[in-house]
Amino acid sequence: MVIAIGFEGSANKLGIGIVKDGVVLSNCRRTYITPPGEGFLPRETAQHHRENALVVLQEALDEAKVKPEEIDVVCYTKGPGMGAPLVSTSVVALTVAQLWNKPVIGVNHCIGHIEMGRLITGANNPTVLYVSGGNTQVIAYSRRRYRIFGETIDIAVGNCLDRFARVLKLSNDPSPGYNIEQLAKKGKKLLKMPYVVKGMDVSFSGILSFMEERSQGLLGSGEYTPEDLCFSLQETIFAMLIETTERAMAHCESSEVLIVGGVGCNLRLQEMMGIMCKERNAKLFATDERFCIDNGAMIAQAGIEMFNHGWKTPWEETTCTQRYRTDDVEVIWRD
Amino acid sequence: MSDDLNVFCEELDSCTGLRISIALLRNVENSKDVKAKVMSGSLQCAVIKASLIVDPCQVVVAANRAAIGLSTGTMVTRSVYTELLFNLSISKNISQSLIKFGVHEDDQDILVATFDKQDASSIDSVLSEIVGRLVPLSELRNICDRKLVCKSYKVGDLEAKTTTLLDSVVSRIATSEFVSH
Amino acid sequence: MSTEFQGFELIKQGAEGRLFRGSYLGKPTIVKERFRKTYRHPDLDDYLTKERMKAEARAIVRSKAAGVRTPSIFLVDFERRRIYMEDIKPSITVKKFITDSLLGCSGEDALGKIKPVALEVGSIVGKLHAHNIIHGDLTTSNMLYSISEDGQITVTLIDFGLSHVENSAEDKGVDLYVLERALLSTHANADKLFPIIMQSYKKANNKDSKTVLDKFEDVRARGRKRTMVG
Repeated sequence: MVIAIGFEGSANKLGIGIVKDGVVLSNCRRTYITPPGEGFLPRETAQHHRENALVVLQEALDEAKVKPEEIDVVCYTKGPGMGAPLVSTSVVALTVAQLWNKPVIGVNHCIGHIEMGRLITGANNPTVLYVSGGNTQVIAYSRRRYRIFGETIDIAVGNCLDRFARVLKLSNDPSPGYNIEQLAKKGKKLLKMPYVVKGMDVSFSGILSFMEERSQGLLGSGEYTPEDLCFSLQETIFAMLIETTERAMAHCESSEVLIVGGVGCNLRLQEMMGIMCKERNAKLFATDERFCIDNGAMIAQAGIEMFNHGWKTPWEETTCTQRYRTDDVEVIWRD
Repeated sequence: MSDDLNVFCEELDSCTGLRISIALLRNVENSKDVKAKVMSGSLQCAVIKASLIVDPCQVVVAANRAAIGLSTGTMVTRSVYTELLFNLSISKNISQSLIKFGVHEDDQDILVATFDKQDASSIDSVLSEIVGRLVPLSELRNICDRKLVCKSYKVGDLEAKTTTLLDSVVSRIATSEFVSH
Repeated sequence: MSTEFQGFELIKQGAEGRLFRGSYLGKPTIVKERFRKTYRHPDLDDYLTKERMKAEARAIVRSKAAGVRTPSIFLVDFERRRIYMEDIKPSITVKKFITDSLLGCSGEDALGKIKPVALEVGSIVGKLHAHNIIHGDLTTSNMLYSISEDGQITVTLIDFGLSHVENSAEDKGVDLYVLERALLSTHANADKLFPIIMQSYKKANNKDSKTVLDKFEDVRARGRKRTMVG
């Protein structure tokens, strides 16, 4: 019986969650929301995390009805992510670990998403599409690594969506991507824009500059509505993601897909992936915003897997790193 | 349907329901007359300058595109016969293509092609209008001006070293809409 | 299968489409048919399919001009999403040629047999790159070996489904990297083959082989991976 607490703060969400042997006891979160047209910056985001850390920690303990002494291991996000928010959150984790005298595990954020997805959906050995504000990867497990078959060669898909939302001055509440998704439902007219797939890799920066340069003109002339532009952007970039995922599945002869990461709760993306899976006789696994979006429980869940297989992060290595590849981690807990 | 061994027949794409019949004539005396009849529509066939043809397959590939154009309503010229001449050329200019691959008044070596339904061929009646000597299509070997073909299809020396002229030519015909040379 | 495809035999089914073998216009023919992807908006799907078919056919024709043997193209049919092309006969894949050569032969004897083919492979890839054609999927399964009666060896390059034309040293480097990876994963003697291939590659593409090889070394070092910032 292992109880783990996870601290996540690699981007604009502060999440603290407690997991006990595959059961999520609590998963509390606060999101730093910026005004429309603005993105979140490291310094202010870190400050948000510092200000909320203790309240969220208390909430997580209360909701889980767990006392600190019952916790076996403290897990925190080591990276990848934005430096200042990562450090501000890890400081809290490391402090409580010292206070409670518990072992510490630094977790790769991407692996947290994958392990949480597997736990919640029951997917066994899926091809994983990991899509968020900071990452876009097509991943499959092989020989003790989550191997990256395809990825973005520039910006992440979520970043592309967030920055397009700024062009349209959409609200960042609850998230720019959610608001794009709602508008896209009413869009009809498809705008042709760059579609950049190279083998299993994708690129979004060309699409973003295309939209940044033309949106005002297209809207001003009345040729397209904001709804049409949201619709067109989603249709295009999601098609790119599905195409590369399908290619990876064909390559690995895989019959399961798991979507994780914040963009993964987009229902249109899930619908498109579902159609592709149906045609291939494959099974789709996806989760909702509680687990898709960055959260503390996912860090705790990955930590439990690592802890159960004897992993402990030595104190002198309890650092953070902005760059931390998914395939850098040896997956000792899987065959 | 002609049972003459000197007439070459090939079935085109099954969606067209058509086949192509091709015959080669030398020492043609009434090219001017034939050309006029083809232009007026009283003679339903394509008459092609034989010196630009490497192999009957070259005509078949162009004819197939023309026949598909006919059956899908996507032709860009007036008739399936002008469409065949236009498709033989890699130029996008219709009138230039027709002049280049069509027969001139003083041409003596000409290739005749007809499109036919599966069960009938009109090539015999067309041939009866032409004063010339029907010869096997293998004679193209002696008639074809390979230098002129290379120039017309823009085939360079590097390509000619490794690829057969027929390959170069048919591949260009099949892709002429979107590959420029 | 529609009746118009009677007489054609399905030989391969992949994520993107299917390959058929049969006879067309009296010639041995391979038909490559691309699937309609219903997850995509139909306009986007039509547009992409058409662009890719064009890119594929264009690369095949441009390769000929570069002095590389490729299949003849008989028809590009956007409506039916098919490219009809020559079925190269008689031929075997270079993959099979190498594997067969290694059977019941000492490594040295086999290499002697394979060397002229490896040189030819390097030469055709060099010619492609000298003309800015990126194949995108260089493997020994995508090369066909044939030999004429007088002993002349021909290597024909096929499957240009991921090809494009671009003067990019990076893309050429990745092309070589893909080839090296494919060799390593398929052939036991890849470590000996690749240097032979590169030897003739440099000769055929001496114009920019230096910059391409530098890029190739870069790509090799990072294993085609970039470091991600979260």
